[in-house]
Amino acid sequence: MKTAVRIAPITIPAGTAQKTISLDIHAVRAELLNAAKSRQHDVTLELDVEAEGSPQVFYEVHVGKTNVGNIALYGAGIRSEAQGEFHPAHVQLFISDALLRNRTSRTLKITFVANGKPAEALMIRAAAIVIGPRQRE
Amino acid sequence: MPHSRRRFLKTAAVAAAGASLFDVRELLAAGPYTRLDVGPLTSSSPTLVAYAKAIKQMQALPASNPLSWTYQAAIHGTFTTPTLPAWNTCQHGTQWFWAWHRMYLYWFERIIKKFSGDPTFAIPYWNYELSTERHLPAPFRVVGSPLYTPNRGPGWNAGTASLSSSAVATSGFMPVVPYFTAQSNCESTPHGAVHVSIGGWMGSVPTAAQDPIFYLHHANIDRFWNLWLKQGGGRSSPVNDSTWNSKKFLFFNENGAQVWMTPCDILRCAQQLNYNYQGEGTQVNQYCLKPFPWWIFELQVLAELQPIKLPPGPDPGPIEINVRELRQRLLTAAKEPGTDVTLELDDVEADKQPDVYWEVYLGLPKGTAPSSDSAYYIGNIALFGHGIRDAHQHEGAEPAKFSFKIDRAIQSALTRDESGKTNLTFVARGAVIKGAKDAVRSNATVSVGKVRIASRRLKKT
Repeated sequence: MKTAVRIAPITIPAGTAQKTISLDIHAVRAELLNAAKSRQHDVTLELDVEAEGSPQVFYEVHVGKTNVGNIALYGAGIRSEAQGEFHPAHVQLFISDALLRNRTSRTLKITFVANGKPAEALMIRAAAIVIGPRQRE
Repeated sequence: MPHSRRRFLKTAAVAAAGASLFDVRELLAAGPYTRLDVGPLTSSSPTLVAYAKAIKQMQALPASNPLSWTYQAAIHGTFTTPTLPAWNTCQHGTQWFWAWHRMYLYWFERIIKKFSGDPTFAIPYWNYELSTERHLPAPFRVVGSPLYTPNRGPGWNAGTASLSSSAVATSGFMPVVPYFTAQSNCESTPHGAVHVSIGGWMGSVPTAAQDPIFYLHHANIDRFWNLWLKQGGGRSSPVNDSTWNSKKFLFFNENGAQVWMTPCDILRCAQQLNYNYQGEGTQVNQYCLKPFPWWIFELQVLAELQPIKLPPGPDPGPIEINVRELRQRLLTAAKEPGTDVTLELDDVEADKQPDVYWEVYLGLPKGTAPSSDSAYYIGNIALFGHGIRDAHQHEGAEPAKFSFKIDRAIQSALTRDESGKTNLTFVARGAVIKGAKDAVRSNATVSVGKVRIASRRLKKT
């Protein structure tokens, strides 16, 4: 596993339906694209996510224009509902295909779109783009 | 309605006999019972009539009764304090998400069978992958029905809200091969996304299981486990992971008695739990290799072999072992009824997460491509939790151990080569990509401290 891009923590405030971040991936673009094309690797967006209470929505995650999956906090990652020791929810999204559709850009846009009005702020405490061994058929 | 005639005949037979004990009725009902797609069902369908009847009776019981609706929901989660046995034990964000919810539904289903008086009852599933089933099923929207609750998000009970295609997408976990990644991704979407989409009670763990639709949603998540496995390609429940398979969870049976279950008890839905899903076809049956109690079995070590080291990088190739002096004894033991010949791998440790698992072969002929269908395949080594010594592990992390039954492989190997020389081959595997198993490389050094061939048989009394 290799962390190709570390992403600064992100907060999406309560009531905010959409947030976009831009990452300068120029320095690692070739490496990411090679991994995305490879049959040996997956490129993933790894997120450690939490909220004080349930946001009561889920967030679609778009890399460029491609929907790569969702952040849906239910149980794990919600501080007010933790049983015992609290852990953020870990979300892993496969972004190889999205990178290949975005191959010429120096920047990568990641957009979080809530499917309603979030009741709580969503905090992405740690985020990274990771190159790892292939996990999918 | 695949079993409506059978249901009618059995119910009629039970009624004619005047049986009053649930256990007698259960005996008359054979199963496995089919968990139906709720889509075509109506409020008058026997399955939903039975479900509604049972809910009404359970809701009338005091919350302290383990069979009550409140208590059963609290097993999943509750805000109520002080808590009673098994409350708030649902598993989210852990290794046991699929397994715990399967157990929970199983005992819940038995309680519904009891209160409905219908031993053929099986929880239907909400098949929201179908675009025609994205609204809350109509029988759950009928005000006054036990299937109804006003505690749902806007539009659900009016029939105007529906699940979006991204909330019910299975593309995040179905193609994924490693169990824990697939499970975690399924837990997020569709599981979590459906919960928060419906909102109200469903949107929060401590209240979700009070909504009758909860159990249909989870039946579908449970069905996904079966469908994921059925794709093959190396997918497997972690049956050899002793951390996963030995964890015990508490539930209550239909008589209100405490029952404990482990993941090994719930791997085969039809065989162990007496249900299947409409349209799923043949289920994949998996088995735990349980440690055998020493007071029942005699384990006799036949040969101590050299420790093994698997370096990072490409596979090391066949590791030769010589069992010439034991050849005849092994062949005899392998054929003997009631005796298993086993390969015991103890003190298995990796210096970090290897990012692969290994298929293990005994006696694989030179030049033969390793295939888990072959007679030489004896099992997998997959390290997760136990057996990894890196910075993320707690101090004192224990080495892993594996026990493989090798009767078939040892017979094939020693019959083919009479010299008694054979080999162990460890083949690192990752995902299967478009049907072709790519060569993958381990990132870790793995050591196997003790390698033994043993025979195991029932003690004679």
